[in-house]
Amino acid sequence: MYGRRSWFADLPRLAILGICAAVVLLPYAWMLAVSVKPRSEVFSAALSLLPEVWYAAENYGRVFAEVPIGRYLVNGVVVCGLILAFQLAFALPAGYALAKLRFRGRETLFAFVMLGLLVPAHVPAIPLYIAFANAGLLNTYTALAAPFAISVFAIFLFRQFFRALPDDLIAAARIDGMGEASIVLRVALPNAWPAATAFAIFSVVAHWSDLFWPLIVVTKGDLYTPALGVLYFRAEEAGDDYGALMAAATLVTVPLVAAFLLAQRRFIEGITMTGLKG
Amino acid sequence: MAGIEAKDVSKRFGDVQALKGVSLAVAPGEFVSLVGPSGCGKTTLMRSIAGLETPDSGTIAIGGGDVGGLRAADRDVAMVFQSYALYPHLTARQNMAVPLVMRRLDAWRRLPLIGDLLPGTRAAKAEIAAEVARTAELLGIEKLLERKPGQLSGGQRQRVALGRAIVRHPRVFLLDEPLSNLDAGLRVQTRKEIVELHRRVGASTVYVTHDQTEAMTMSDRVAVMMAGEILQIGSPRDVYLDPRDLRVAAFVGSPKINAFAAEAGADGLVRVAGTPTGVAVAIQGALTFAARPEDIAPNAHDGIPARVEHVEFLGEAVLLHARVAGATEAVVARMDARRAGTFERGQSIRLRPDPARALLFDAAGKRIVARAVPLGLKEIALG
Ligand SMILES: Nc1ncnc2c1ncn2[C@@H]1O[C@H](COP(=O)(O)OP(=O)(O)OP(=O)(O)O)[C@@H](O)[C@H]1O
Ligand SMILES: [Mg+2]
Repeated sequence: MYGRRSWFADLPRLAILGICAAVVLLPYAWMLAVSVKPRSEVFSAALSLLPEVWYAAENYGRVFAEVPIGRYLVNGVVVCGLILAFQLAFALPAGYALAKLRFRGRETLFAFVMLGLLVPAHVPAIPLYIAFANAGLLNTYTALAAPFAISVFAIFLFRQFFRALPDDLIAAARIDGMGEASIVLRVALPNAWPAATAFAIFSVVAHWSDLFWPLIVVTKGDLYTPALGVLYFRAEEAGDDYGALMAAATLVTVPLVAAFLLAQRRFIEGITMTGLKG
Repeated sequence: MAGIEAKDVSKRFGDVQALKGVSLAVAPGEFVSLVGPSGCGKTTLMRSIAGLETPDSGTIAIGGGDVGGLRAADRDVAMVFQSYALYPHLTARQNMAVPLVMRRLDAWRRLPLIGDLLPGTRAAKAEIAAEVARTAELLGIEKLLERKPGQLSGGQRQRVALGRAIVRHPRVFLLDEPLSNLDAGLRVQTRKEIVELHRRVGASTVYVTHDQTEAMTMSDRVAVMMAGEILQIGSPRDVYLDPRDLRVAAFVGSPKINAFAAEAGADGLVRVAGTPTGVAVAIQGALTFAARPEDIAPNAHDGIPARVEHVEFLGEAVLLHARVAGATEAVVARMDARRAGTFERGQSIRLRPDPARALLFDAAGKRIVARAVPLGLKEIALG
């Protein structure tokens, strides 16, 4: 029954999804195309994805020659890794405590978490800047990562996810000899993979391409994050050399796409992992 | 081996008093069932013994030592949950290994790669694997060990949960309605297996169920619980034949015991609906006269007048449902199928409870002493 007929029935859906995907992908395709074109072709009237003259070596060569793009990527990995590690280290136990432990003031604490969700990141930017400046921490990894170490969104997300865990499961873990920390790592987290991967994707994407905060606390080139690096390249080096600029943008995007594709597999594994209804 | 002793345990949730000063003593190696209607506090008592719930007052001792200050992990109890509560992300084998891994390997040795490099880890892990394999064999689940709980049937999950509980030879074994998710056939079979397992393992066992047949067939003693109190603890025989409380009598036995509103006169003779019953008590006034279905026989001439409602043929026995005028519940009499006469719906009959076996309860539902007195001819004529 699942043959040609359903393929036809799916056609409208596939078409709509296809169009949406194309719309989303088009800027990226254009970025890729421009990054392998010579300058003269970028603004030519003919809309063509493929270049007439293959100019990839020159564009990418310029990027590598003129800015330490590798350094920026490493900075990106370090900063995003630090942020994610701290976010998980705080949010997993906090979410577990808010979801499964009974203690006085739990609901009040959770209300504060909800309140925290309402505060945009830009609001505390100036006070934080002043604090980091006074502490002499501007132009450090600490300044780049510390403000994001505690994510109320992550706490909220994990709390919601952990609430769905059966109480008996936690009780069984306690009887089997686990302490609360072991329960978080060995029972709660493995059953919250979808939430953890989804959150990791959000977090890494957001901080990899964040321009706002790095622009405030970093002025030294060797601490530039990838997004900041592209901006710098555009202002200082590339000028109107869009081919090289897009080559830089591509180099900055590729690791993210690769990481996402890897995480996506786990993400889907997590969802299909046969259920908690055990 | 270690016994359990709970003394005056109380627990309140908000405005629900789940346990009202419950005391329960389980001898070393004994199998005690906890029966009672839903919501009477069975699970709460169990969780208090396990250390998952902190009682508001009262003490709990295991093996003679007070365990009030100990975490669940340190009480050396194992529990099988109604929902089985297997770890969904682990295979059956890993599920069963968890209690051993958590107890025998320290935090460093549990680390994924580094742990294996430390001295002794490999030997300990091999030992654990061997014990898991032995337990799996005992339960007949060797073939299921690589599956995750989601890939197991209810009965298989139940076995894995049992395995996880017995693998580490706990001092105390707590089972919370472990059979309630199984179909009738499997339930009877597993019932036997659990009893056998208990004999072999020998740990003190508390078995929660609201199925009284399970309780009666499996246990050394049965504790009947109601509304946060244990009403009676005794052998299945005592609980059935010698209930101390009307609620116990009504809960144990199927079909339910027949309870009649009765009156004791100045002479102490008990009458139901004006009919003498041949039983005398030491008090006067309103009371409850109760008789099990097998202790009531239909009779043509004397006894309590009633009308036949319907007749159930069970094979070896016949259940006669009849109604006494003005009563809300039908009276059930159980008769040997070969000796029972034929009855028709609406037929008028008389029911005669066996005075020697009747159970009498005062207005508060407490059992009172009764003695059978021979009925005089005059009284029979009056009836
Ligand atoms: N965590 C809790 N919070 C609030 N009330 C609770 C909690 N646990 C139990 N109760 C209440 O305590 C009473 C006893 O519950 P318990 O689970 O011990 O009953 P039970 O005898 O095991 O019933 P069942 O046969 O349905 O499992 C119930 O009224 C229940 O609503
Ligand atoms: Mg229960």
